[in-house]
Amino acid sequence: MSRKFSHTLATAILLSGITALPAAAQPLMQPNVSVAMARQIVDAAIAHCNQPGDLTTVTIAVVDRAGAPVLQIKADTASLHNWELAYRKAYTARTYRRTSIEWRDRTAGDSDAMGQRMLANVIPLGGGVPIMMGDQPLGGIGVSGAQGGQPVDSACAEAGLAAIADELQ
Amino acid sequence: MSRLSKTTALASFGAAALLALSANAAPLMQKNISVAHAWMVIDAVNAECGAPDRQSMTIAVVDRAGEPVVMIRADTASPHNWNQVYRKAYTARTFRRPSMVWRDDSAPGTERLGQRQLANVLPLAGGAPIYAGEDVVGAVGISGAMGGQPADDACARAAAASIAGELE
Repeated sequence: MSRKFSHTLATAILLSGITALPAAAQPLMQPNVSVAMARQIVDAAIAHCNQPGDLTTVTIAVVDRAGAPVLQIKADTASLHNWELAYRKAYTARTYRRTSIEWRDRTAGDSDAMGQRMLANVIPLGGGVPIMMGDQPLGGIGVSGAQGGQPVDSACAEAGLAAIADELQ
Repeated sequence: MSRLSKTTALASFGAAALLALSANAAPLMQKNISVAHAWMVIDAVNAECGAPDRQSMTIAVVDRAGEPVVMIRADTASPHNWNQVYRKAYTARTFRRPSMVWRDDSAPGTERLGQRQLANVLPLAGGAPIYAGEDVVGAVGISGAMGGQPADDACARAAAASIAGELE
């Protein structure tokens, strides 16, 4: 190949690349969690697992597609760790696109995925549920402080998710 | 005074001090804000300076300890807003004054500039303390009002004041 020819060829490839670019450079359209959606989730979760009475007894976090919090609410009865736990459960469910209780078991002691637990912000505890639209992750829900431990935290987050199921069709 | 009487005096003083201490060792009963109060403040912010059709404000309500109670983000928020509103609220709570007042109190050229080196404080308007009478029991921090810091400040103060009656 002559030097001149190869240069021309390279230019042609480059140009075709440039003309192909605009067609492939449409903005990504990504579904995400809105505040209205987050409020419905929180209301439904509280309706499902709050203890009777005037006090709010569960701590809840809703995170968006980026894992950033949209709405967080701390129980009137919360311990110091609950705020962080609820957020980390939601983040874990979002980033692994599965419930945090399922991820807890997948990364357990004898698993070769245990190293995943060393990442920041994840937590191997039940109470986190992903918000999915088909195979698209929108966000996550995390619940901490429900009476009955991790399975109840998890069920409470699921109840929050069920409230917006129609929006995710 | 003899050694004996000194000892007796010391012993009786010690006993009296112990008695007085146990009489004063009842738990402190401190007012604090609930989730219900936090939602009232958030609703007041939205009514005062939010858009009518969407969540345009990012808001944090912190309690007596400076810990968040409810935080909510605008659909249009930038990544920094979440942390920012928390810090505005924390600043107003811990310095017991609007964060805009503290911003000016700690401005360069003042002897209080060093206060800005503390963690979690922020010298920007939009944080306002929540009072139960004279007692600061929490604070609200907001971002997103049209008109910048003066607008955030006015809106936060109005929302914080709106629940004063609930905390009497």
